Amino acid sequence: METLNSLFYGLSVALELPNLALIFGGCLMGTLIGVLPGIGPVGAISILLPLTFQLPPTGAIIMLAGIYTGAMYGGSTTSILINVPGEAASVVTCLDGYQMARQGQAGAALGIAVFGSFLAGTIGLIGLQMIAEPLSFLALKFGPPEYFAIILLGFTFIIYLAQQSVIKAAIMALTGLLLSMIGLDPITSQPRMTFGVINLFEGLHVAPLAIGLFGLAEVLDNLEKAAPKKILKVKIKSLFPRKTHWLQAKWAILRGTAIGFFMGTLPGGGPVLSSFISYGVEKRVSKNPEKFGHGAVEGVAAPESANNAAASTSFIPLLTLGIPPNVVLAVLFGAFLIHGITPGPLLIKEHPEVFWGIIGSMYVGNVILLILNLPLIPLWVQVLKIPDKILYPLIILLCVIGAYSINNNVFDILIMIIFGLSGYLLKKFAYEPAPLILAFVLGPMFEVNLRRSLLMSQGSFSIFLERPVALAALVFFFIMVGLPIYRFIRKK
Amino acid sequence: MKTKSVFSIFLLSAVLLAFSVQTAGAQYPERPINLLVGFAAGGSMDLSARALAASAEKVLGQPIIIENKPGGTGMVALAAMLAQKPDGYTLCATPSSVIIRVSQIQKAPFKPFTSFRPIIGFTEPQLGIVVKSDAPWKTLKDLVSYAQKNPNKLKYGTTGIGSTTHAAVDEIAAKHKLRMIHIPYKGSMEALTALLGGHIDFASLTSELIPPVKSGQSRLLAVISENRSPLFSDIPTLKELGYDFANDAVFAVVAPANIPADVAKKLEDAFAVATKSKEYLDSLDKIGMIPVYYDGNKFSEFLRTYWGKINKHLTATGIIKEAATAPE
Repeated sequence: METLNSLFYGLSVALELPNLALIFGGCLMGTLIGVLPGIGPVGAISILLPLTFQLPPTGAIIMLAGIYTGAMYGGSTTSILINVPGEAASVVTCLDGYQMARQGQAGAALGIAVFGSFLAGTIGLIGLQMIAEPLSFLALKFGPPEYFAIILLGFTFIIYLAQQSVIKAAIMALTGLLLSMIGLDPITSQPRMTFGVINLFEGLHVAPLAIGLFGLAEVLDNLEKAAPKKILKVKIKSLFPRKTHWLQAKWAILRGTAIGFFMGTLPGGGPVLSSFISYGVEKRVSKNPEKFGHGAVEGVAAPESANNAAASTSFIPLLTLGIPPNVVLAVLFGAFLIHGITPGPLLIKEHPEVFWGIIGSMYVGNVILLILNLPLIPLWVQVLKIPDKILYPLIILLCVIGAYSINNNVFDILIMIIFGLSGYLLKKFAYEPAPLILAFVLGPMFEVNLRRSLLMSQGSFSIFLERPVALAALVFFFIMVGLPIYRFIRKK
Repeated sequence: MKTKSVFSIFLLSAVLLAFSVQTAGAQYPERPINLLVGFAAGGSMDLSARALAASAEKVLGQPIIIENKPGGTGMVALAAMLAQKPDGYTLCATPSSVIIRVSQIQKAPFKPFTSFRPIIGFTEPQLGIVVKSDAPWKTLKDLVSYAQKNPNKLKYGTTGIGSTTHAAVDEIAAKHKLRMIHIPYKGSMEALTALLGGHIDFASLTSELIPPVKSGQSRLLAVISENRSPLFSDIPTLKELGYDFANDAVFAVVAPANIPADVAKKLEDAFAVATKSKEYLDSLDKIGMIPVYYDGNKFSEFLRTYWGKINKHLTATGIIKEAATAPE
């Protein structure tokens, strides 16, 4: 009852006219920036942060929160339409979303993504409000051994990302791991594989990689096929998802939400990881896994729901403990401090208007985003009607801007082009880029948690067996890997 | 026709005006100044540079435009500044650690002592050693005596191997010949998370330690700075406790070495005035940065003094055999 009262209080803060305008502005900017490849929520919030200096604290923070959720919504648009991921959490959405668009179901894919995001975001919020505190304390208990074991388990999802050869997928994953190790060694600070190039000291950024491997490679591939006309002629079957789509997607949305909900609170976990994992889970539970990669609705619904639920719940550790679980929230953390508010255990007592205002504003923001995005769908679908001779140069331009915008650095454009060309060649030989990206994202966490665990135990691997969560994850890992091998041997 | 001729007269006069301004020259600054920042927007380097710029542009009478150029652990922005004309219109805000610490570990595209004309050293992060609030150690002495009795028992986190926070703990460990387990983290936030989760016993952190200490989640045992902190005046410095170590990471604004002397002087004076404004000091306070002041000469001295100290620590811990960059 008290929670409900507080919620109404939060909503009343969010619905004050100036605040409502700020939420709307934030959501709109977030959506636009999410649509642009490259600049993700981190870039968007950092760039717009100085604009909020003049605002009162509550207004400033709810606007920034609006940008964050808006970017999560917008990220899927380019993934679906032109195979260019808007931000890292939308990489998986390319796999089936783009295929749906090629089959004339772009509207359905976009619609499912928007509705899934709305439902997941809202459910995530209810959770944020109900079990914020216990959940964040639980997340703190996750130490290096737990992370290591869970990420190891995460690697098995590469099998589900593979559409053709598992061996080829494994090769790509190993390449991704190798690429993720460029830069300074996380434990000893020594440069690795940098060849003295200062731009490589901080390692490669995931965005130029993903934009090149997915977006640019796709354009190059299409240029050579005489098929571009086919896309043009595909009749746009429906602007919005139909009943069959809903029936297919409904469990995927719920499962995606649940996965995103828990992953979001884990430090380092967050939207990106949860989108990959929920995709893998869908493919695993699906009765026809062969549909995945060829336009399965679940393949869009699950990751998009997961990344939005994770975006909501990633506020939990920040608001209750003062610990930002990922980079976006770390930037938001800075924004709080500038406005003279310290997120942490005292926030709810000292600044209830901020705490409940944020939660209220996120409910309102989700509704605004739903209203904002639905009319945009028919508009976005028109993009596919642009003649290829105009569309392709535009996509390449977007890829270049996207890569540059991350660090204002021409070097990233070069990286994007290199990976675009490699992506094209890999496509020729039927190597898929998704496992590479997954391994690239997981790689640094995998390495650093393994090494920290071993530092803690002074080199003894028994540390992974002494901790129940780690042990459970390891057992699962061996089952996941062992079963197929066992079946394979028995068949022989 | 008439509007066209009016327009051309306007255009001509504008061009002439531009020329006259160009030749005048001495009136620096006559256009906006670019201030490059080697780290992403929203971080402590970026926010403190923005606070300083907002105050300095009022003194200089021209806008100062912040341009974030992250990369190469802060080196990309310094290299980008050196590639521009040394006319005082491109400056760089950087932590001293990029110039004298990072450059010892990785080969830098500059000479730490001679490539730059320091303008001002203006702020430093709040460094300190913290434990969880339910930990049994009330003072640094408690912690040290526990470590003496229990070798290899204590686990501690820092912001990375070879960082200032790590060097501070090494100083303590070396003095008492302590054996402890070092877990390096990527930045203070990660280390703080591990501390609050009970995965490490104590941590040596930067400004991120302020909120949890104030909220009572963790306890500050010592601050790592020349003088006591204005935020925690009852907490002793490492120096007071008998360890010869203070913060060696000061945030500064630097220009290329060969900028005109009068321009450099003008900037130096303007930035010095800027650090006195109330808004600037308020902004620093909010983001947990401690105001300090070094003029150009003092900061050059600072770089030379600490180059040697840092080199000693980096070679003693085996991180490097010799500095990757020649200092001059």
